[in-house]
Amino acid sequence: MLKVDHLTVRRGGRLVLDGVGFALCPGEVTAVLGLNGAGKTTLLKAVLGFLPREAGKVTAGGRDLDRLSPADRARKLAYVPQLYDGGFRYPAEEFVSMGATAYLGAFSRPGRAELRRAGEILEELGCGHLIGRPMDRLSGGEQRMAYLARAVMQDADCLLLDEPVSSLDFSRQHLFLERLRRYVERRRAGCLATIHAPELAYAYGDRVLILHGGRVLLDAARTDPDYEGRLAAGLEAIYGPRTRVRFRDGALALGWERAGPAPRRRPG
Amino acid sequence: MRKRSWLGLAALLAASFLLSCLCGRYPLSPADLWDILSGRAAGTMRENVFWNIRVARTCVTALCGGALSLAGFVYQGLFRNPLVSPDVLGVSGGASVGAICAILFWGGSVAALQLFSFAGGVVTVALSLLLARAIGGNRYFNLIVSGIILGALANAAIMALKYMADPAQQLAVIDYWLMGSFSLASWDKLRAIAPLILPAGAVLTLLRYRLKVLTLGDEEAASLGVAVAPVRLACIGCATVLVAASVSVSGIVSWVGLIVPHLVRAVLGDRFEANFFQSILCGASLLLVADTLARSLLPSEIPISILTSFIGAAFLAAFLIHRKRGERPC
Repeated sequence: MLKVDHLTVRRGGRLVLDGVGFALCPGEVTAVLGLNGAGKTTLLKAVLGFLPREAGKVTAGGRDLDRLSPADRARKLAYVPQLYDGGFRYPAEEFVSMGATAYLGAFSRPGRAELRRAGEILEELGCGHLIGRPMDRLSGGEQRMAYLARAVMQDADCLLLDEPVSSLDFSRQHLFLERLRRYVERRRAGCLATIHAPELAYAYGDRVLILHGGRVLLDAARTDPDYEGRLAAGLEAIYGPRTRVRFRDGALALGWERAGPAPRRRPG
Repeated sequence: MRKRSWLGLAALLAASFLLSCLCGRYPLSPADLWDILSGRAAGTMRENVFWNIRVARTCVTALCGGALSLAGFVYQGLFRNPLVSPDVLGVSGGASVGAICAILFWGGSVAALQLFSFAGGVVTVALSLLLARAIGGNRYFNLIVSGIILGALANAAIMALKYMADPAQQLAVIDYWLMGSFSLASWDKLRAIAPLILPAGAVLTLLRYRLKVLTLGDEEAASLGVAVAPVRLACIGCATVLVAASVSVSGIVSWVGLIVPHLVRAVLGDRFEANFFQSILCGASLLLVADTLARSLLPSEIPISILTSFIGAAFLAAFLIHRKRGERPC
């Protein structure tokens, strides 16, 4: 699985990550929480090797990622970026089939078998209706699903997702994370997803990692003693003292202590 | 549907090839063609014109048309921008500087012209890459900026050299070269450029799927298992060889590399790997038609860039207007 040690990244002179370390477990979703600018995206990109690291080591399955060929790395780590930004137009299943790149020879390309498999994956994820539709015409939620399908196609040991649900509607967020969880459990893959909403991180994460000021403020697993208490303390630490964290019916509810009185309901 | 578009393109290429072989100042009829091919016209002027002038010129033109369009397609993919021309990294400017130097300082012999313009194009692109590297940071933006800088420098050099040139003789030769023409195409030239263009095209054909993945962006391509830097360098290198080699025999042929891939995508549909080959076929046909017009419209030859620019611009405008009408208002 993925193991990160003492990851330190400087961007434009500023220390964005300062000795970050964690490990992913197979079949578990690790949710990364943090304020804007806490270094969540930087963390993913540094792990993937897109940003120069000042210090630190990233290993997958015991092997140093820097020493692996691009194809071998792609079999260890799949990546779902924040936005689809393809300049060209590809049908969804063709896009998904590109997940097979790491398994193809240097000069070969996905054939009929890969395209069929891509279609099957889309069907399994409940997105059969995307087949044949161009990526740039899909909604944000549909694009996310196509990305998830591509990651499934890539069949990597670990999955890194950058804000996969931030731009989605309420129900689509839950649908996406449900399907992500199902895949991660079945494949026994490691999964690291940056998530904005603590409610979702609590609902779908087996482990929560809070990044603050470039360091890991909290690394707590659901199975740890006093998980909820530590999570609540961590959230109050990053969101400030006016944050109210409650756990009700197995869900996390966040509140905010307002400065003034709440808007009154109209009487009657 | 898919098969039909391939058949159509093949027929278009065959027709323009035939047209280019028959038309010109010494027109040949289909009957002449039959005589020549069956050997009944052996030793005649007709046969000489056909084999030594027309077929050679047609082959060179077709090869250059395909090469320029393919290079445009590759650059558009690399820069993830469907309206980039193969000149983004300054290849044409550099080739022009080389060619003008050959005209001014080495008497403008055919061999010198070809060698210098090819070298000028390749060197300019290499300098663009080095400059982009020196700037650091976002690769694509830097490459475009470096291309603009090198293009501007080449332009300055072109103007300076033209200013130095003898207006009575050299200047006209320079201007003629800058407007492009296939009038000097020959079997020798084909022998000179085919060994450059065919291997470069073959490498690009092998890399076309990797190029397609690169259009998703560097980071995504890398995360999917593509060795981004080597693939990109190979693609830029091969595309540069394609343009530099074709420009070295014909002079500057503008617009083909920009317009053909765009047109192909727009008319035949966005399908990356198919568009790759469609660009080659369509580019060869378009340049053959332009060259045929260049030598048959007026008693004297018209520089080809006048026609390619005109045809290209008219096509693009007509197409965009047509498409806008066809689309539902939103």
